[in-house]
Amino acid sequence: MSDNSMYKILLVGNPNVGKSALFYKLTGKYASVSNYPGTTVSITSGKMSIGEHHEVEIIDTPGFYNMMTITEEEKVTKQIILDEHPDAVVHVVDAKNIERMLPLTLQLIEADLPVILVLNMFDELKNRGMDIQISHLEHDLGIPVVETVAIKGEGVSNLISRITSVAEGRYTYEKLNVNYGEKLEEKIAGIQSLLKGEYAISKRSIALLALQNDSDILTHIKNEPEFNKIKKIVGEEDAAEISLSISHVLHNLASSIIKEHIKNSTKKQKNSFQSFADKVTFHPVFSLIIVAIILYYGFYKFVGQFGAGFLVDFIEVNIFENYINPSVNSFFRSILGDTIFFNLFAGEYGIITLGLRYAIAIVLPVVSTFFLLFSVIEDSGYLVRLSMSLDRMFKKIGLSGRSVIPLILGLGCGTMATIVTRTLETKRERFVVTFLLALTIPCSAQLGVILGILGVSFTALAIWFVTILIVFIFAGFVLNRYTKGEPATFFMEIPPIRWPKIGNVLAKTFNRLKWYALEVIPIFVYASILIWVGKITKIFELLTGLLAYPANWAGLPDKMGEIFLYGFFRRDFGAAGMYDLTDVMTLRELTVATVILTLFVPCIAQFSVMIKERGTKTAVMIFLAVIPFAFLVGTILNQILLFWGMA
Amino acid sequence: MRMRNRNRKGGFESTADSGRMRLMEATIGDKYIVESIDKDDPAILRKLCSMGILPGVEVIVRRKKPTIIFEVYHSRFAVDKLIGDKIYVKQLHSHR
Ligand SMILES: Nc1nc2c(ncn2[C@@H]2O[C@H](COP(=O)(O)OP(=O)(O)O)[C@@H](O)[C@H]2O)c(=O)[nH]1
Ligand SMILES: [Mg+2]
Repeated sequence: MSDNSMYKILLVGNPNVGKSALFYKLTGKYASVSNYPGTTVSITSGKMSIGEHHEVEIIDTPGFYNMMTITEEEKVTKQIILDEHPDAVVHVVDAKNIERMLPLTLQLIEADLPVILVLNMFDELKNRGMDIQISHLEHDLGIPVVETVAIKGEGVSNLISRITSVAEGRYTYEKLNVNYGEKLEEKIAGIQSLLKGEYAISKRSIALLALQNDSDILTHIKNEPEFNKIKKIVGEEDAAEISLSISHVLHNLASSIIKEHIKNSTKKQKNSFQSFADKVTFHPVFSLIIVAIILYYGFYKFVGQFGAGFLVDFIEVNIFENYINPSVNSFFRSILGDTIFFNLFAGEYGIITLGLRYAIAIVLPVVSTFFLLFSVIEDSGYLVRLSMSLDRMFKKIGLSGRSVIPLILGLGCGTMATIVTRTLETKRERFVVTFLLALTIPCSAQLGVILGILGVSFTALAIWFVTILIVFIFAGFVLNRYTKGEPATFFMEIPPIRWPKIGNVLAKTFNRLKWYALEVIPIFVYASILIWVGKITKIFELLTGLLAYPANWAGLPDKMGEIFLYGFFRRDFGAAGMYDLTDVMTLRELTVATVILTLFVPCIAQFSVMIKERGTKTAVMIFLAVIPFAFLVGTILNQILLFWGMA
Repeated sequence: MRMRNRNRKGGFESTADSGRMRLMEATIGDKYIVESIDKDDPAILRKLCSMGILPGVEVIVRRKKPTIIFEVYHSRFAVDKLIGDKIYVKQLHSHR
């Protein structure tokens, strides 16, 4: 390696061990840190300087349990290991759980990767009266071992110097050998000798994974000249049996190494806050009370009344209507006159006067209060408890408690939530959740508008809520019935309840908002250009004319057709249009309209992510199923409300 | 459905022998060790393996409803009945 070339360092390890926290300490760049497994769904990379000459690239990866991967997030990490040729692989573990996590270290060592073992959360280990003799462990494993407390930055400078020496090739690894017993070793040797290509990981590792029928590895080596022979050897064995015996050997080896160097305390020091929090959050009745408290104070009071009510009013009226809009209008009128270009930027539907006003005055307060609340709940570790409590109910619609997380996040931003479905284990579950997000979950921008419009009447709001809930359950049942695949199973590691850290909560909220501003708002700006073009070319007139028909069936005025269409391109257009109609529409019409607007196809940003994550065919199918269904529900609801005598 | 049937058959004939039982049947708060894991669903088996839930490991069941919660090493896991029923445990007779 030449002096100023860039080293690549990978952070890997189980979910929730502090990889992202460590990444932040190393690079100063924020990657989502949270107290539940599965928040880092994509890689984040950042730079760190060592000495004066080197810049090092650090890559934070999604959680990773085993070289034999199960979820998509794990596959992401494995693919990086296979493709990127890292100069050091930093395996981060939760120190108190080292015995359970060390088998992965052993796998990484077997793969001939330049491994560094980091025993993070050393504070929690010490709190339990335990200790680990680092230097002995280092000797037995033949790799560098470092203890850290990522959140306090302890041990980080030591880690940096270890990374440097490994990346520069100054560390001599003592190769640790694992023996899987005669029978298995024979098979391994058999496959190993058939492998001719060059790979990022050792042939022994490849052979081990192939024997366990790991589909990624089999794809990776499919161009081998002797591939058929390899497949034949693989086919002779029961892959599950082999997985079990391999895990067994690795775990036994890990235990025997650890047992010598770990000091367990005789009396356990109990963290009284954590055990109290456990009692309450696991309690069947108290946990429901907590949900009620979060819903009332968190969502209704904080996001609803403070965010969507007070903040929106303040920014909208005091800042935009009184100051910004008048001056923007007069500025553009003075340079563009009364042309079609004036309408692109200013006027009734301009990018600045409507688009930006909407983004800043309405969406921003709602999204930020929501993300702030979500970060607090997430950081406490409470979301996992919620997943657990709801698992039974969700099973009825074929989902596991895990899907609670993307669905709740969808109340903030459906686009972000669709990306987070990656943490779900089966293709089936990812599909169902994507569908439900597109159909039933209103994002915070919509929620803001809905609360604004229906807030005057509790009955209307309740009707809206119950309708959406029924649709959610109904759609869940139907999707569960007609989607191929096995029903989801639930398996989750439960992190301890921790006090949310203010710094982390703020950083996380800020980062989500930044993501929102960078990824979602630009799409809305492009969309406004599209709308502008659509208006000039009269294509939109045609489409709104078409949408007016189903709007009429649901008892709504023609103008709603236009709102539905614009709502797809830019939420703000649809919503702003709705506000204009509040004076001319009856409460029944408004209720039906908000229900259709909620169910109607997601915004253009979410749709583009759906295509990316689920493929064009699936995305288009969901899209086409949702439109008629939204109007059907609206029509039925209208009839029921008419029958009921609602004006 | 398919999986459950097979499981039930395998489960009942063998619970008879010396103290072997399903995770669901364990007494809350007592120490057990994992006796075996059903191999009929490779995906679940792999998942349990990579979490370190393997024969020979100590477990304590903390709760059975609404999901099964158990402790292994210093971690806690929540699993549904389908997965929980794949884990067989036996009482740990330590010092007596
Ligand atoms: N007590 C303690 N908590 C930590 C430490 N490192 C991280 N955490 C917390 O552990 C949780 C998981 O951290 P995160 O970085 O998101 O883990 P990741 O999933 O591996 O990226 C967060 O709540 C962190 O605040 C540590 O060294 N000590
Ligand atoms: Mg992370």
